[in-house]
Amino acid sequence: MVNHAMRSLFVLVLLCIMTVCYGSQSDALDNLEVDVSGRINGATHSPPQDSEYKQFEGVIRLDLIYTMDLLDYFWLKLNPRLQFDSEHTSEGGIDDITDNEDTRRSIDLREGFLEYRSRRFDYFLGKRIFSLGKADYFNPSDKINPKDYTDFLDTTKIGVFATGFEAQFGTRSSLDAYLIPFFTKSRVYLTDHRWAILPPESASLADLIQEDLPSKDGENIQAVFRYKAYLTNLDVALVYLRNIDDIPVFLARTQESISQEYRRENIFSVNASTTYGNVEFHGEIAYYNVEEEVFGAFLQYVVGINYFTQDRFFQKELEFIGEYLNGVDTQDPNDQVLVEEAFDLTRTFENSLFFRAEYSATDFSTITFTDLFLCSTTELNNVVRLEYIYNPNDQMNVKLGADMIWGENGTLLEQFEDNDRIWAEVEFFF
Amino acid sequence: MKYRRQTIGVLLLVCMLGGVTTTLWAEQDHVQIQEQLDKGRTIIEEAEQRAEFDAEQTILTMTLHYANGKQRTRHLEIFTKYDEDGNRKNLIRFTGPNDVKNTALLTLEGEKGNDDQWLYLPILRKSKRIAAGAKTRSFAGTDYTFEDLRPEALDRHDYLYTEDQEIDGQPCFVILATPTPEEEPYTGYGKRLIFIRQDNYFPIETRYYDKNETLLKKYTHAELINIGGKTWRADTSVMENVQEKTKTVRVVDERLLPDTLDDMLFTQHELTREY
Repeated sequence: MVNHAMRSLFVLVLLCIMTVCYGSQSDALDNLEVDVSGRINGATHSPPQDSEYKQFEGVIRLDLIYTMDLLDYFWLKLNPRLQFDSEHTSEGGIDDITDNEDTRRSIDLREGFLEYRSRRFDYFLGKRIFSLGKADYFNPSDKINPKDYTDFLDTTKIGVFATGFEAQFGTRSSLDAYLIPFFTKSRVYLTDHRWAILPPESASLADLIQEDLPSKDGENIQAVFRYKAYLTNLDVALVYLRNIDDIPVFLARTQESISQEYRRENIFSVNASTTYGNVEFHGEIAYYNVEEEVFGAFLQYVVGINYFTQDRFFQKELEFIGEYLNGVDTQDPNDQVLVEEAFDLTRTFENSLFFRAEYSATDFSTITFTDLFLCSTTELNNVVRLEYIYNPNDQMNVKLGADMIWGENGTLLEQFEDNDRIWAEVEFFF
Repeated sequence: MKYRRQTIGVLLLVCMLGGVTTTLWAEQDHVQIQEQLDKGRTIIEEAEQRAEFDAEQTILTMTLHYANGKQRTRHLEIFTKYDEDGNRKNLIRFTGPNDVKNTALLTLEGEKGNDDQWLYLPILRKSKRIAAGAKTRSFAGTDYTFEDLRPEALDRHDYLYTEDQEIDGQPCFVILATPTPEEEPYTGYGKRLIFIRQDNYFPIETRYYDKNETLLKKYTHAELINIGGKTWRADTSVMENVQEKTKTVRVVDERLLPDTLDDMLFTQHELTREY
């Protein structure tokens, strides 16, 4: 606890020092962005998996983003985040470089890295968040960063300590290489939380689960290589990830225990995007060559479109995004007994459609309709979000939304069936 | 009988003369229109050629004026370069305020109007291609569309010289630009009237009409400065949406004219870089 407090204090002191040292310069504070948001969720039902159900929960988040040019060729970015919520899902201070705690930290360094920059070559070192793939929602190769599923409908990426470079070859192609020395798992609740993935009747299974966390040694180093090319009306990327899946798969290797294991995989992926008329097309094919036969190799593919138009009545801008994800087993797993198919989260949303419509209602507001539809059964399995964003000025956003979940038996969404909610959020930028 | 034959003969002669005259007039109209098209094309090409400048870096402020009287301010920097083939490369990056900071647009002019455009959104940390038909959408909430920010697609428009007219006391060529059938599905404009100053070939004003030929926007420039040779720029520009009653005022804060700009500045790598 003392260590946690000391470490969290460290980041804040560092920021203060930087601000004071450069305070005499009039543009010092121009490098600091402050993003404050407060949100209230109102649950419409009592979720059975949350024994301490509260109808309302509140979240306050403070992001400080500090960037600084150093000696013309270096660039520093620090993004500490302070987050508090009424459900106490955030507590404590900054822990190790790897964030393997089940509980979200109240004070965390979301990103913090130093980068050497030139026109043709960049090199960085530090904690960072990456984004791979061309799609808005389904990106099979976007697996560098684990995710925080504390709020299953608003997942956030967790920064990972990494080093790497980005090299340009001419003006139309580049090669990125990243090394992630420490494994970081995704934050997923098993029981006693409104977003717990184990159904209440299986809660006792949690006692049987033994977590097998990859150790911090050389054989668990993860690596990414990505070659990108930008041609006339075609963007292509070839990606290789030597990866440990940050989402566990639950295996019953014996009758008496269930292991929570993290799949080691070599992912080979190709993604591309192009345009035709009003439509932007994008897609990805990713082959997961897994190192242990018990998991089974598989292939995932995504096809998607972005379509822009204007409504016929008010001539306001309207954008549609549609994506479809599916997967195919390419290897029969043997000696495998899964607790639930739904517990392989990487594959849970195969055969799913993602749809979003974004309407610019006025100069200051946007209405968004989002639907994640699981096509795997004949029943209705949907996650629907309706969101209204009001942006009265450059420093503020007001958001109102409603999330509705329909989850049928045999799917991950089954235990989230009663987790509908409405919410309101206010966000300030400085 | 004799008179009937004479009458018929005269009628036939009149018809023939009428037909020949109509054909000649039509031919003359066609020739005249073609001459106007050729002249319009020549003027536009001269204007485009004069607008080329090896390398430019511009720091500017945009003020968005809304119909309800509200205003918002954007700060940007723009890098522009012409390659040896005369193709324009352009990188626009927002430097403030914080909610749009690092949003960037990269435009690479291609052959026959097939430009490549990518938009980088910091919140997604991804760049997205802008489809040809989506270029009619507003750029970052301003009165400029993506189409307005790309080079003049000379091969995809017809340019008709219509007349001379004065704008602010300056004689101008008035050019009517209409999209070709190939371009028509992808443009937001039915036509444009471009007023090009006769002394320096600077397009001092452009009027955009929608597909119902109703005036949609006006683009005007002031405070012209000569940045070298025959090239002029405007330190103040106003894009006004007449129908929505909004306008975007663009004021140049600083203009830098380096000898050249690195081609690597106009890449995805630079587009997605955050500052």
